[in-house]
Amino acid sequence: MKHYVYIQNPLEVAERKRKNLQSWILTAPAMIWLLLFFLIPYLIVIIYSFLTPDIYDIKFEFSLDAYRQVFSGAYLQPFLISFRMAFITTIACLILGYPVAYFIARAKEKTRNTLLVFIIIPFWTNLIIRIFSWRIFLAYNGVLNDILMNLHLIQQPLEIMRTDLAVALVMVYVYLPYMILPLYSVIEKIDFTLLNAAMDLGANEIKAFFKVTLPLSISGIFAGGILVFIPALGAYLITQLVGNQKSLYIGQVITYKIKNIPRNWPMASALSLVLLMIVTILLVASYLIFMHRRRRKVA
Amino acid sequence: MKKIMLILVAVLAMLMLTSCGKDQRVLYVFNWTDYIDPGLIERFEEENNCKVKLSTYDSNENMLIKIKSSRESFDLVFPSGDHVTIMSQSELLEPLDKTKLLNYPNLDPALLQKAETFDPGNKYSIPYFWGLTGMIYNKSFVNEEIITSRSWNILANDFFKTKNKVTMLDDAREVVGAALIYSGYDLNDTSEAAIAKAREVLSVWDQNITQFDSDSYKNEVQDGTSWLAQAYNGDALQLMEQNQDLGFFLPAEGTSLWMDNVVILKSSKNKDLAYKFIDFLLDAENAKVNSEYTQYATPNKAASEMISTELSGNPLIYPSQEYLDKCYMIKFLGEDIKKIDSVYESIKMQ
Repeated sequence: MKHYVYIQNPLEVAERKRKNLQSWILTAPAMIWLLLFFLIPYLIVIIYSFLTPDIYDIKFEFSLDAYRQVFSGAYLQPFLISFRMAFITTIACLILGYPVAYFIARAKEKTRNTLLVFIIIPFWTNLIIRIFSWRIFLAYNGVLNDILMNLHLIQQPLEIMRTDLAVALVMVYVYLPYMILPLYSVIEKIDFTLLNAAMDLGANEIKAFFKVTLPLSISGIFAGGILVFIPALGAYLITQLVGNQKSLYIGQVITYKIKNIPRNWPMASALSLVLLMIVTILLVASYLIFMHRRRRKVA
Repeated sequence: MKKIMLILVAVLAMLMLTSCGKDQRVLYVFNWTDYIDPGLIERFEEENNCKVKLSTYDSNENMLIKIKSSRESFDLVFPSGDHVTIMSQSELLEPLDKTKLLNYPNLDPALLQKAETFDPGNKYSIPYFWGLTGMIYNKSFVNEEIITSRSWNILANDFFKTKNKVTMLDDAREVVGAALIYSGYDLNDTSEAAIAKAREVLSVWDQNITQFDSDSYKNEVQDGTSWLAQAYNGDALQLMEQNQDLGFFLPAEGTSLWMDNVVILKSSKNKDLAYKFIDFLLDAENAKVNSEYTQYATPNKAASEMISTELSGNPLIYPSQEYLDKCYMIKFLGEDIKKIDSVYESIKMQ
């Protein structure tokens, strides 16, 4: 083995310093942006969660009341309902999204791009407009019921609007692209000759899928799952506009605490932060499990 | 050559206009969106050789935040009743000198008396428009027999059980208020007995209620997703104009009454002009024009007598005095509002 003696070249040092400065200058706008518009608002949320609510405002007196109430379990039900729906949405998106992502990834390059555009098209329309279209579609005298009645498939209009089913349908519709896109980008990179190898070694197609493709796309499933689960957990618009008051979601509780009089901004802040904490713990835990498994496999 | 002349004339005209504008007084008005006839503002500007700068808001809360935080000062604002109390308690309002308002006697004394719940002695505020809360329903689904009683308790009717067809406004005061009035209490009563009774009534209604939402019912009651909804009379009448299937009633037990008002801010630098503007709005003819534009009920008695009988004869907009006696103004309750809120929250959380 050769040993190199590294002599510092003053020119190189200057060059390195310049590059360092350059990267600082380049990242500064993003950093300042994050600091101003992400970190500071979050600090306000954290500070507010420890203050005392006033009917119209907030009193700058320290209080732990908000957390005491949150941890007394008064809001357990909305948390559970939100987690249940987010879980259902994620699983449904995965089951529906995986075949689509797989199909796009294995399509010819030209069709692939067209198909990707189709997946992205919904983003061009405002969420509220899309939810309202769903309301027209699912309504008692709506498009779906009209079609089914005219085809004589049903005698009575179906009651879908204002049920948990309606929430689930719209949630899956809204968040499906967030599952498909990361899955696609992972599946696309899989070396499919591995599949041939597996089959040469005697695996049938199903076994090859479960032994090769699925494990190789696990990071896509993980990324897609996060992208769907987290926004679904805090969803407010969908649950308010098509949901039923008998399942009250945590997003609705938080909005209520902000909007309603007497105002309770500390409670809204505390609820958001607890939600954030739960999500973070879940994320870190699943990431650790994921990394642990991967390491064991490599070893 | 002609073109150059034209440009010169235009430039001159602009100069004259701007220089003119500098001497002109400016009245800063802060009002709800689409809540005043723009034609009236133009006329006022002409008559008084002034400029009216209109800014708009969409909720009392936003209005209050803006007034408290902005250095931009307004002269006239149009808060709802409870916010008149809050603003006068915060010493934001100018006590009104009614001798400067020649048209003040046009106002309906019965409504002025109602306004005293939030503004004792009508010291700071002039009623602008008012309205009531009732129930809108779709006749193609709800038979006349079901609503013959015209009672709030239709909300408990077994007909709606498990049907998922009833909504109420997303407003604690309106929802708990309806239960209080149904139980024979004042809408602003927060005594233990009243609150307990309201809780009991609401827990029964709650079984039929699909959602608390102040907007969605406007579509849902038409497409059959909702069959019965708590609604403001102004909104309901607008919907009924477009859709013959809809019906609306004011509950027999009485209901809540809201009122928006004109106030002058203490910080106003143009109080003379502000008084002139209020007096201009109080003029019977102007109030009539304004009411026909916004479609809301005017508290101006002289004006309401001039309004076409189609509007003024409609008991859903202008109910009888006897019915008005059973209507309650939503009042600012201070700390006691927490009691109402706790009922509403426990109903929502169930």
